Amino acid sequence: MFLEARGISKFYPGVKALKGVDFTVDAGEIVAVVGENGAGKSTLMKVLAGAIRPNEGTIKVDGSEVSFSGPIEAQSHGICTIYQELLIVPELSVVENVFLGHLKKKNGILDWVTMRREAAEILTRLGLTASVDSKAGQLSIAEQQLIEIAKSLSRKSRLLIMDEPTASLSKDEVDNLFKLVRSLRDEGIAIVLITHHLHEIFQICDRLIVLRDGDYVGASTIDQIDEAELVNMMLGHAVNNDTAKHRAVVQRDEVVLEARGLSRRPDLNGVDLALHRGEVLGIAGLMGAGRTELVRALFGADRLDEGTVKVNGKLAVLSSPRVALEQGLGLAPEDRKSEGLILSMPIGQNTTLPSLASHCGFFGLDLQKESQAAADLCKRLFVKYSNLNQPVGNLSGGNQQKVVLAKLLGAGTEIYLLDEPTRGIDIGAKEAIFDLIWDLTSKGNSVIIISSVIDELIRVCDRIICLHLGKVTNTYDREDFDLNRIMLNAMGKNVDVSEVSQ
Amino acid sequence: MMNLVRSYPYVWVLLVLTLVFGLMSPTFFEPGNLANILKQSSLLGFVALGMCFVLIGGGLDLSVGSVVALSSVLIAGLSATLPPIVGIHVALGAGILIGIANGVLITTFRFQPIIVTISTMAIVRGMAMAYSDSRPIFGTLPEELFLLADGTLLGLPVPAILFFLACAISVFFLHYTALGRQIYQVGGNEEAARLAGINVARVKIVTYAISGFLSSFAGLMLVARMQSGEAVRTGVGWELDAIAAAAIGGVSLMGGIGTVSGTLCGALMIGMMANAFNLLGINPYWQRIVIGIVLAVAVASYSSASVRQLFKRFRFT
Repeated sequence: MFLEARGISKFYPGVKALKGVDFTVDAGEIVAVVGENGAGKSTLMKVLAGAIRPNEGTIKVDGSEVSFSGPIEAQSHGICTIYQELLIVPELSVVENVFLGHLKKKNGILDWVTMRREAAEILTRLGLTASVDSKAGQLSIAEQQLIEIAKSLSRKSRLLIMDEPTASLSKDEVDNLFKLVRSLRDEGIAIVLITHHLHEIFQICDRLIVLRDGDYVGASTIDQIDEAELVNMMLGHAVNNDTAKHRAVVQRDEVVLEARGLSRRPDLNGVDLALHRGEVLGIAGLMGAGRTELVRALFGADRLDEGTVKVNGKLAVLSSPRVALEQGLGLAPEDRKSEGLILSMPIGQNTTLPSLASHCGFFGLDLQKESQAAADLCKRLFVKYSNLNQPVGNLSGGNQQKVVLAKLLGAGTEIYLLDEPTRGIDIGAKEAIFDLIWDLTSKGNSVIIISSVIDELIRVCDRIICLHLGKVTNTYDREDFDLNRIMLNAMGKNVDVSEVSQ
Repeated sequence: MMNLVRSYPYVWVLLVLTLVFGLMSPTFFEPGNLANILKQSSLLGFVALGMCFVLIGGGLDLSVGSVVALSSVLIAGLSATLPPIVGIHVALGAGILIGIANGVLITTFRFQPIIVTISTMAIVRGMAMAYSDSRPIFGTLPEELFLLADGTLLGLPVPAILFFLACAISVFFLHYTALGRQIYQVGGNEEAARLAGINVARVKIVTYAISGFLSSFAGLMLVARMQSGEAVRTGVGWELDAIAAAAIGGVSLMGGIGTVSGTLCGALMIGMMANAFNLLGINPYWQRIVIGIVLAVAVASYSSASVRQLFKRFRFT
């Protein structure tokens, strides 16, 4: 066994990211690590790559125990990681990128002759035709990924960990990559693959392990499991359907937001959708399916290539967020820290960010009125704070998210676009956000919500559309909600009801 | 009181510096000398105040010193043929226009502020030198203009009064108008501000325009004091002194954070050091060294806090 990890645990304050996970991988096999977001896949990979230290557990390489002080030590044992965000220096040439961090020297000066020769050899092996002297930034993402692999091979890598390697590749590029990965396996390199795309696992892997909430759920060879079983292992629990009591059936008589043929290539490829008054519309899809791009396009944050948007039946040119706000749209962005909040500013001033103009009196801003409004909004959302003047960055994730929503509330939003509003927040805050959504829609507002957790969408939505590669693959009404089908749809699979009904 | 010290550390440093200089030099506390300090500091103060707006908005303006020079030669030069009021308006207008040009280049073409304003710094300096033929211009300036530099009102020198007035207006603008608040928002997080419907480009252009205006106003004050305009040496290095004053006063070079009161104290500190070193007969190069040290210490003390905060923020993610 090349690498053997036993009982790996990693604790963060308040969170157990990994709870005694076992993992092995041998030379010449491809192992998939599967699980939902937050299951602990990335944490496990970071432990193996030496990027973080586990609190408990042992790692053996070639049968002898090791303890990595950092990624460099892991690399010296032949363990290399290719992260989803490629670590390419765009301004440097291909050969400089390949030997980044371990430049070869001869007599104290850099030995470019050898490096260029070796880089060219590796790149030929990988099937990359670009010159070793071209700038890495000018190559396509797929080619840059090959440079990452070349980087690992130039370090005599024996274990290659690939985190979502296909996330930004086209279908042909994925096929090429997989061909290459197979040939690397046949040369005796161990490969660990993290992917959300279940079909890729069945296409290429020999074995898989499943994680859920930091727990080791199980392992299987690929021929002893099918997709339905795998989905069950990943989710592991029955869905609770106690939500119907929260709301009446929505009257679909008035379309408040209608989009036709929205395209922003390559992320959005002709999306149609209609949102009715009082409706909660969920968007299910993988990362990179175009979910965020869709709501950002609706909000006027990004330019569209094509497509029309109607708000309340009238054609609207949403050329900027300001125009969208005026039309009654409001966006809670995916990344609240970098897009939703101004961390250096106080809670109160963040809350009134889009509604500031309404607190202007004859003699400038009415600060008293403003802070009263901010306090009211925060109270309505049960934001826990000690002082409105404390920086918003000091709040917990859940409370920060509530401030983002309070902001929209204060701006008089009627159509809420919520991008992953529940990510990284605790259950209490989640419930508060769901309650708010139901409360808003019962008052005639409408909500579009994105979540990676399908369970949540099933709980809160009236209708769910599945998005895959920038296209709507299916739409489900409340009475047809089916976790497995929605999940498979979101992964780009079209399934018969009979196939997964057991 | 302790709270006051903690939330306004620069006030405390300013008081300590005043006390130290007062003890070291018997003439330091004489009313004439204090008035002199105020007069000296207010010139740099105008420029630093403009810089404060730009820095809070997440930008940087290195063209300020050149704008001071251009303004001074324009006012002195135009007064030879035209009524002085015309020259003053032309100079102030030119300052605003240069600021707008900076802002437009930075926002529409997404150039780096440092590059854009280094370019305008060179261009404007060159324009000032071309206009004046690199010679001092002794204009025919009216008596009243000199009052602007040497007059006193209620015992305070007029330049200082004007500077305090500018500070008061700035405080009102930053805290009691939507546009002022938006400067903090844009500097704090440009994308979040954009998504909140703020016209980011407009806000940024306004900050550069304010900086240009205040710099050319400093040029006007300089002409009033020197009774002449000069293009080669005027305002050289002021951009760095202005950044230093703002940074000592707690304005973040990363944008989004800063106060007018801090900038005011920073400008006073720099003016006071120049004055005290003069009184104590210490060689001027020591002054540069000490300003450098004070700046480094001030910025380190602010940023060590933000480093801690950053660390806190990323530890669990």
